[in-house]
Amino acid sequence: MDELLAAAAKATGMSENMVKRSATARAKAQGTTVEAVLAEWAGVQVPPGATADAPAAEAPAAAAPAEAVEPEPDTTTALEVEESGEEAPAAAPAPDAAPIIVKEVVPAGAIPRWLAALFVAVPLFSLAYLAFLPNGPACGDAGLLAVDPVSGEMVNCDGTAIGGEDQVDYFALGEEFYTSRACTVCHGPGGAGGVGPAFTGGGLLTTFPEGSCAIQQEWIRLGTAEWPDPTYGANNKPVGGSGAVMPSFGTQLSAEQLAAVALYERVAFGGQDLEAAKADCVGTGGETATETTIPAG
Amino acid sequence: MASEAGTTSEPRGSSPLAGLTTRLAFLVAALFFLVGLALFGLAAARLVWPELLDGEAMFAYGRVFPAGVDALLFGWLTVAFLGYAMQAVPRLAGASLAFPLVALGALALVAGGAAAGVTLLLLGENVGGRFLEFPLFVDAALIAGYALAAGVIVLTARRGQGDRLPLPAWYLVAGSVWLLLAAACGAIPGLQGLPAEIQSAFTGAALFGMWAAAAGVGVAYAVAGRTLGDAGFNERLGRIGFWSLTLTWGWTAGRVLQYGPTKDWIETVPVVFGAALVVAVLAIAADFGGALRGRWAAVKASPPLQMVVAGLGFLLVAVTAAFVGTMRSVSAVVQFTAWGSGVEAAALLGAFSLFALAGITQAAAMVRDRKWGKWWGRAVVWPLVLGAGTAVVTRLLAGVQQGLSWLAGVQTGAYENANVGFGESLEPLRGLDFTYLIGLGLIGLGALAFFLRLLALSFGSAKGEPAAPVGFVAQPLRSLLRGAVAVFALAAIGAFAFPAIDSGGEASVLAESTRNFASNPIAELGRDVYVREGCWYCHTQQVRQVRTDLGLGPVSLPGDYVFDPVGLAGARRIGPDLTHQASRADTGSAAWVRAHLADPRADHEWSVMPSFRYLSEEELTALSVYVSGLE
Repeated sequence: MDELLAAAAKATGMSENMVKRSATARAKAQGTTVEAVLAEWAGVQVPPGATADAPAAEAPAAAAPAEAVEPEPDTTTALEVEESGEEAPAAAPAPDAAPIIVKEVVPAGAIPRWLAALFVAVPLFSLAYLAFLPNGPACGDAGLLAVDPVSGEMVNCDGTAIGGEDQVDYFALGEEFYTSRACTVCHGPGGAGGVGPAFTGGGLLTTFPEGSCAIQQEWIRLGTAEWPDPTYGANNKPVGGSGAVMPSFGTQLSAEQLAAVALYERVAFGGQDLEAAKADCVGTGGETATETTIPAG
Repeated sequence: MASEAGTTSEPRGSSPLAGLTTRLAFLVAALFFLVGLALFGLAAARLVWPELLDGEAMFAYGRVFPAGVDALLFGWLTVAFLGYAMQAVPRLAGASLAFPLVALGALALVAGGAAAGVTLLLLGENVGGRFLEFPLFVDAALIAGYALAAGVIVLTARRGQGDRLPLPAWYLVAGSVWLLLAAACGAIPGLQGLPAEIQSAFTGAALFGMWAAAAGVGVAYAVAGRTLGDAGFNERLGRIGFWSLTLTWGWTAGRVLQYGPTKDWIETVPVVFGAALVVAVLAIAADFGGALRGRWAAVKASPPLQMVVAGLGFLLVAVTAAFVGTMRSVSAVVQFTAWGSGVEAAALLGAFSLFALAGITQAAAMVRDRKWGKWWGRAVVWPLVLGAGTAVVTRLLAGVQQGLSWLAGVQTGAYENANVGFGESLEPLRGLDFTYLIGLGLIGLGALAFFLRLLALSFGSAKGEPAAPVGFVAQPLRSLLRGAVAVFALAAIGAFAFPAIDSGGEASVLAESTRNFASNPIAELGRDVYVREGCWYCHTQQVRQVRTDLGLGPVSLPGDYVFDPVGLAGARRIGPDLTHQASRADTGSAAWVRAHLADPRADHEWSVMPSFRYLSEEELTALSVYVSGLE
């Protein structure tokens, strides 16, 4: 049997395992013995008697593998039994033999090329990943940050502290808004004044001295039209006294932007120190001022 | 071997007990499916309508959510696949079921254990650790059941002629062994802190990949083989698919620990194996694709085949989404969001459930006198596919949405992960959460149709199981089992034992002073309540070294967890992180926490937390002392 198998495998160009199973299936389908089929495929003399009832075997055995490479077209219909109303068991033995033979002769080892490529690519990717990134991405990549060894808090990769406020450049933000929001029309590009009061020469810090940045922001937010009191600022300037109108920027600027504009004006034109202005304007402005001085009406 | 298939002699109907066992298993499994979906759906509904059944102990999120998941995994899928294996392995191996009485007993233990476990979870007896929630005696019953079931299935396979097994039986036989081994890994006592976290991660991955996915793919092959024969299936692909799927999945366990307090290499391994797992599933899908090419008429006519095809699609989605979420640049955004539950939905509700349904609808229809029926088939397939598809898409989208809003909040400084800003990150999810619920409802409709039809088919006279063509590449049982044990052992060493050993270590200063409750019985009681009530399903206790966690305080270290009796690091943030609750200015006091636990929406109207007013005064106080003391 083993010699027959080896010979048949050689003759058909398939693995022994497959040949054996093919032969078993074929033997069953044809009602003959496994040895007979193997012998036939191997081109050996068929043992007498074994093929007596195998008229179907006139198909050349060696050609069988090739011819059946295409799936048999009627397999499908035979398999719809389950839903076709027929009793499944009755139909089962009939399609039984056919698909198995078809299967056995399909070159079973063929792997789609794209899949084979993946099977090469993925181990390569894995090795490369393990070699180059065993500890994951470097600081700064993929959202990763550094950790301060003392506090355990996350810090920037260069070791500097991360702070919500520090990340915003209020001066630059304020400059952007000062020049783009028509402040320059009344107060001048250099803050020297025009229709509106001058900021330079101590003008700004007289009205809104250190510590009153919140009130300055409130003034920018409400303008002359919405300011609740007849006067404003430390020097009690009358609202609208100069004849000019300060517009309300409340709907145009966020709390952060309000703080930035106020800070820019104080630092660039009022001469206040940046850090002092930051302490004065950022965080303490906006909301707190809003709550205390919001007009009743 | 193929030649046995045509004869209906010995294996078929040799024992009426075997038929009864399978029939019962399918019915019980279908019941678990309904109950699990109801609990799972209730948990999801609680996120949309937090006031729904609020204050009822049994329906608190921390109880219904794990009860629902465990009912689906340990009840529905496990009973269904074991029942299917006991019916299919005899046929595939060409032998009768070994020890049918033992098989019945095994299934009774498994189903009874799962039912007891789910009930105990609802009653608040959670012992902590995802997939490890059941109390010890339930674990013992389950493991005994798994051992008996695996024994019966392996012995049945051994009875088969020539000791050779076709491909579908590899999955079912090896899967039943892996189920036992996975459960045994989960039951190893004495692990604390991060090692316990890793134990839960590995057990989950093994239960998903080496049990549910393996058994599911086995069922898919068996169903397709029964309908189409093995024609067109590719021997080599089948072999490659089997070994690569089962070799890789267990190693992906660490994906839930990405960027966590564990060592970096523990987080690199799941990336590498996650990529390989996608290719493994592609190999299996390619095998089915080759076999089904040009035979779509057969698929159209057969609901079980449709379920198989859809299940493979969901499996591909699940492993792809899992891999994408494991890559650190993505993980930095979607970790702790709904992304993970999207992956779980694709696996549990999509792939595994559809495979189980395919097997049962086909088997039930073939065993009984009557057919399953075209319309009944459609009534199961369509709601399942549409519902699971909706669920997966909405969960993945919600994950991305939430991760991005966390990131945006951090960048503008407007968002604090622990306070009101967290509520703002939940706001955009409401619509997706609601759509998710609709998806779950659709799945429920399909499950109901399935249960009703199965019930109708379960009465009436049984008839001999039909012979069906069985081919496929065969492998000796002995070498299969050797390989299966080796594959599991490798994964258990590489993804469980080594990481667990490498994650212990000295207690950190912080842990020594704030988490060592040896002399603080009130906080210790509070921690027990925290574990029992499942607080850890929604609250993490880990600060990662990434941008999304800015503002949460010092980054977590392995040594922070050494005093935790179970894994409390958490993997999902439905509520804010609690690692440094004590240092929160406005919400860090015990009084505030206590008031918030009793009436969550009094202070934070966006909160979806259940009210814990059902706890006793003592428990409520203890829980607030524990939470407000976390540092």
